[in-house]
Amino acid sequence: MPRIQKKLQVRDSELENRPVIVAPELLGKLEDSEKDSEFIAMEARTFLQDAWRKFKRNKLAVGGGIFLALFVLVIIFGPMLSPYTYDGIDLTNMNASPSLEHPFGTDALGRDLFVRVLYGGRISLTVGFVSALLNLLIGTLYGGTAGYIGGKVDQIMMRFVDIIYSIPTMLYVLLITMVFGSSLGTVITAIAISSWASMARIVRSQVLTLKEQEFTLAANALGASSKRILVKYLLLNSIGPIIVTATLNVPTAVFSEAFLSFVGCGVAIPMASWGTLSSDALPNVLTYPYQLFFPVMAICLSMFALNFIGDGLNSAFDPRRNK
Amino acid sequence: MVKYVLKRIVMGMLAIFILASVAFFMIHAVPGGPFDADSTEMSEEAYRNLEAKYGIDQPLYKQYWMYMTNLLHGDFGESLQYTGTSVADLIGRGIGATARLALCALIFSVVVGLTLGISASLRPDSGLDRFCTALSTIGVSLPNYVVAIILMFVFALKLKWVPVTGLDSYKCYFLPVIALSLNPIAHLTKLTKTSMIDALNQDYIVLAKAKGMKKFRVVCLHALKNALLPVVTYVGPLISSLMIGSFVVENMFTIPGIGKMLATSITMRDYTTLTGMVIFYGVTVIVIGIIVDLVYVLIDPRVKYD
Repeated sequence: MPRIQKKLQVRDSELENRPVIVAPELLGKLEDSEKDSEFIAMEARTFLQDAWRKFKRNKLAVGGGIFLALFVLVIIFGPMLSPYTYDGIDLTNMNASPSLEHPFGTDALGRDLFVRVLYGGRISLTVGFVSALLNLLIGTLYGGTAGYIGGKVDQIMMRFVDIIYSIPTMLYVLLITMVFGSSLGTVITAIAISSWASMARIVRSQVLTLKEQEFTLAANALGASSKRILVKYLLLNSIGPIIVTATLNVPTAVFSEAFLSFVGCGVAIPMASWGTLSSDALPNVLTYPYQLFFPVMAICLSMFALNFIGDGLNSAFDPRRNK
Repeated sequence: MVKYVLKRIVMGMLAIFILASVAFFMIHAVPGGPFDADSTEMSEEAYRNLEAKYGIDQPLYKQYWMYMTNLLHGDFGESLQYTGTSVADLIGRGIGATARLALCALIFSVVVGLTLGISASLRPDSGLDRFCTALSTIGVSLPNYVVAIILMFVFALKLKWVPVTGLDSYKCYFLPVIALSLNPIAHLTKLTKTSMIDALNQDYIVLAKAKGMKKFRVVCLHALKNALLPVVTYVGPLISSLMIGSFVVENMFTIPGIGKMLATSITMRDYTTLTGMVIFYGVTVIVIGIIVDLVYVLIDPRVKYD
């Protein structure tokens, strides 16, 4: 049975005064399937289904999603299909132009740039996704705890966030990678532990409003534990802003990594992220512009895709844009 | 109000203190002393003397105390790379170029961002509006070194309209300033547009229009004044983005500013210069942030001092 029922009602007196003009073909018997058609009903949708429907209507966002998925597939499986490795030096074939053999050409040591760009993608996107995930974990737990406990604890915890927030992230990241060396792990950790402040702020403000609502009171009255209330009732209900912030953190992290590599603090050789590849190609940009072109294109395209997805999610989860 | 100002200043000082402490302990977490590499050719006595000169023989808490008191006097220590030159001197040498560049970029991005944002909000779905949306998408998606590379490649190397490097004539400013401002312009345009659209839908705008006011007056006096308030909060992040951006742009265009020195200190592993510069950057950003917050409270009576 449909959940919402509304019968079409017409007052009898109105019918009596009106001349009845009905086409004879409408007077036949109703089919069984048509008998419910006077009930106007809409299937109930959950919050996530609703957001997904809105997201699907956003062409740019869906395009970005499909592009990114394909891109990730190519990055994962591409290097397996290529006969070259990312560190295979071929001194007879230095600075070769793009050709069938080397689709993106080779670099100053004769390494195949196609494979290097794909490997760079592995590093750059790993940095992006893993640090955004860590950021999400730290920020959500910290902000959630602060908002849920409230009072003095909240005050102190959020003052700490204010302090972290007031200093540019990049400065911490520089210090950390300088001191602990620049491996993939340190770069990810450095970006994650220095950029969770805004996530914590967003989650806290969500939790602060949600914990005043009746369902939290009800859960409390029914004797749910604090942990259950925090995770199931408060954090799960603020999933929209959390997902949006986390998605937009991915391109920011890729950006930070590219910046770090560019100033010489990125993931160490012989692996090369997109940032390293483009800074390596910079001195010879006039002679071999394609060495710069491909990594830069890779960065830009994935940035576009990620930002489109983030914007799409943002408007899908925003209740004010309910259309 | 006085309480709010004091609170803000105390918070800022705490932030600077924490940044400086992090910097200090990070540097001391690096394994090995700064003279270990030379110690094979050095007598035990010379080694001790060197350690005493730089205070490394002291216990850690004393070194920390010394470092902090020195910082308070504006003494960031001596550069390891240029012996005999203090980090403060290096900063003094570079600050001029960086400040000029950042100021130009600040003015440029505010002027362009506001103009585009306001024009787009007045004609929604027009060609200009679409251009602004495209610009803000491109602006946030392109890293500033990519912008710098493209600009340099097209205007300096191919067309030869402007010099490639340096900061000698006014012509040198064009490319670095544009490269620095593209990202802030993208954010500012988007922000101004949304807050202008919000403001234009308010009742007082309808009233002003109903009273027969000229469109210019309505837009500039009534809408813009209120729309600018959220935009002011972006100035803090804007400054910080310009500072960090200057880092890349100064290196690309070989401009002798602080950003260039910071990058050199990274490649040379010059830890004292690095920490000094990092602290200097942090202090600048924090101080500007405090000023912006205070100005915001002054211009918007609706903000509570909490």
